[in-house]
Amino acid sequence: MTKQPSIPISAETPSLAKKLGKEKATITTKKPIEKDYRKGKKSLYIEEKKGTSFDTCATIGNEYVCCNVKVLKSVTNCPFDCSYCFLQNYLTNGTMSAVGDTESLIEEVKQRLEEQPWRFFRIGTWELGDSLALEKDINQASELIMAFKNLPNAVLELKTKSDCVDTILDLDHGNKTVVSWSINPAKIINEQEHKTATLQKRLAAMKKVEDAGYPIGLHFDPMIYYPEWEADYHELIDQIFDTISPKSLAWVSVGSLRFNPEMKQKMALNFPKSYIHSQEMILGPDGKIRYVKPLRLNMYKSFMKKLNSYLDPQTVLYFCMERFDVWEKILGYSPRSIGHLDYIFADKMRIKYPEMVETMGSLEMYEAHQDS
Amino acid sequence: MEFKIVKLKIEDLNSDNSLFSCESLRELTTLNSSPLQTGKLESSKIDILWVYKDVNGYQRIVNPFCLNDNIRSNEENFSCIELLGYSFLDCLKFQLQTYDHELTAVEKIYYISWIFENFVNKEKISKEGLFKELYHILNLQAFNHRPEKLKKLTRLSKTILSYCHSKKFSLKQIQLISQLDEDILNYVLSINKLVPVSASIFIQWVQTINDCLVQYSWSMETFVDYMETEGFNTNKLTTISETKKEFTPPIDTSIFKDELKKLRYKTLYDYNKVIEDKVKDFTSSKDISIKWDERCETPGFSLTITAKSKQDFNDCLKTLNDPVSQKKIYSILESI
Ligand code: SF4
Repeated sequence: MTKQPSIPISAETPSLAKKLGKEKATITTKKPIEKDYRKGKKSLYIEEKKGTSFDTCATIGNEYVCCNVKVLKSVTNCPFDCSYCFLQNYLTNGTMSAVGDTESLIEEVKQRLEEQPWRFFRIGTWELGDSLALEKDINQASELIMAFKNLPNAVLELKTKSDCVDTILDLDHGNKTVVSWSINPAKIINEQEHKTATLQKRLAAMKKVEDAGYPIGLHFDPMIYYPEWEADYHELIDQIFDTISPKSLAWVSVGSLRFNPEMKQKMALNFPKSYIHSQEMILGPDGKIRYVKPLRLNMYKSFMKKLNSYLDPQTVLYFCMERFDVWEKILGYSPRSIGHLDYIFADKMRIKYPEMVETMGSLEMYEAHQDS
Repeated sequence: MEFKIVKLKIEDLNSDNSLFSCESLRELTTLNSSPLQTGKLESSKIDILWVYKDVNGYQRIVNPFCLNDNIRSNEENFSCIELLGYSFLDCLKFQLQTYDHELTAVEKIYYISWIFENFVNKEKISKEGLFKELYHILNLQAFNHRPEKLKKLTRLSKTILSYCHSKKFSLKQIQLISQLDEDILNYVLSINKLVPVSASIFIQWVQTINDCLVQYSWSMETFVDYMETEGFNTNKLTTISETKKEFTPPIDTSIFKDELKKLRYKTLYDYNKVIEDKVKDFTSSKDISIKWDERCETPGFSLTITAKSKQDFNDCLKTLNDPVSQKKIYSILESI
């Protein structure tokens, strides 16, 4: 028997309307095909879970180190409009949707956890959208937080560019959810991350989440090059640590802007004022366009020096999709494999948040199963 | 389709009352090697002008292309087929179906612009309505949801379209360049006047210039000034090539290519220069060479030894084992 969506389907959702800058927004039960990803953002469809929602982050590759995070495809498309968003070139149906039957998602997660009880799973809901942007209307993250509290060896990661945290603050999360922000200097937020929460609002939300005892994640990704990048990124780090304690951080990732070659034209078309796609970039062996390595190294070196002056040693600091030699040059070491990085996460989290990791698999097991 | 043969004069078609303008069609004859010009289209179907009578009783032309031949043959009277009892759109569709497989991308664009200029609104057909009808016949389904993109193509200048036509640009390529500033296109066209530029180089250059403008927040004027300061001045080169027509030496575009690359990939250029100097410093021997990824993405290098004798080989090994050489090699490795 098909499970009914646990999210109530209301006729109108004023908070979503506000977010979309519209008078009205309606949750609909008919998912129309919308080829234009922007038009698709204008309504929200609550759907039943279909097929498999659990997956490995789509960027896994050989030459560039992937952190092997798992993803739960619980939302598709997003009310925000970032100029570098890969969804503009990815979605075949742009209609914004969220899986309504959260229980089915949880069921699938449980099955996966049972298959590898030795493994520590980090599971994010941001693969195809923002984990919290629609929360007021869909209540999905809250249901997931409550369910993850009782799942062994797994942590939920809610990654957002919003400040929609109020509804999750009073939940008993049991340290099994990391609320994380993808964050950039105010200039980039204002010019490139359209409709997202301002830096001040994100910082205020971060503080609330810290006060609610959630572990926090930070993703300085994509780092974007522009003439004043260095001063601005340094200031950003100061602003963050003026707001929250480094001790509240579970993990921090750093990565630079990258995209598929076809995206370049799309970005130029969809965001004619944006300059970020035409900087000094090359096509890497993984088929992605990214800044030339000397430029990346230069940015990382300066940024990491500043960041490291704050970080707690038990926080996992990692690069997202960077080369092994870049790790070496900037951090002085690199994980020896993707499985190794996954293991490092488990090991550090076990010490910092004992509730998160109950069973600790060996490094060999992580490496042997790094592709699964 | 019912029709009758009628005799018309060019004035009949070119009067103020007529929606057809001979001028716009004459432009079609500027298209080099166009089947429209050379008459390579299936002549049996199109060597005769098709006209129809609009609601006001004016003769209107349906197939403009064959007129070129008629103009060239200086005939006073044209034998025309008058299509009877059909709307303009029907006539158009019928005719396009006849042409379609022969038309290049540029000709399709010309044709659509021509239709827009001469029929839309006056025939009470909206552009959007017309687009819908034409997409399928002209194989332009890609524009189905984005008619504005097609409109953009029709706004490209005739000079640019002529170049695209002569280089057999595909619709996709034309679409690509239609998104760029026309000043950029004209600038590269001015280079093309001096040295013929292939379609792929044309596209590569216009895109790179566009990237440079975005990268440095420059205007086209600043770019041109920059190139002039670096020694590449298209105006000067044009004058040279025009005044010394008979023995103009081939214009060297290497300065332009180098400067463009340097501008676009400044960090890489400087970085490679450093590596190059280090490599030069290390390999004074011609028998040892070093190659690296000039995009500077993949670390490491490949070192090649060329040895024609045992002696050569041993000499190379000796060089490689020498502590000073090794220090230099390590330094190269560290920078890649
Ligand atoms: S927040 Fe993420 S999913 Fe939403 S538009 Fe920005 S990049 Fe895309």
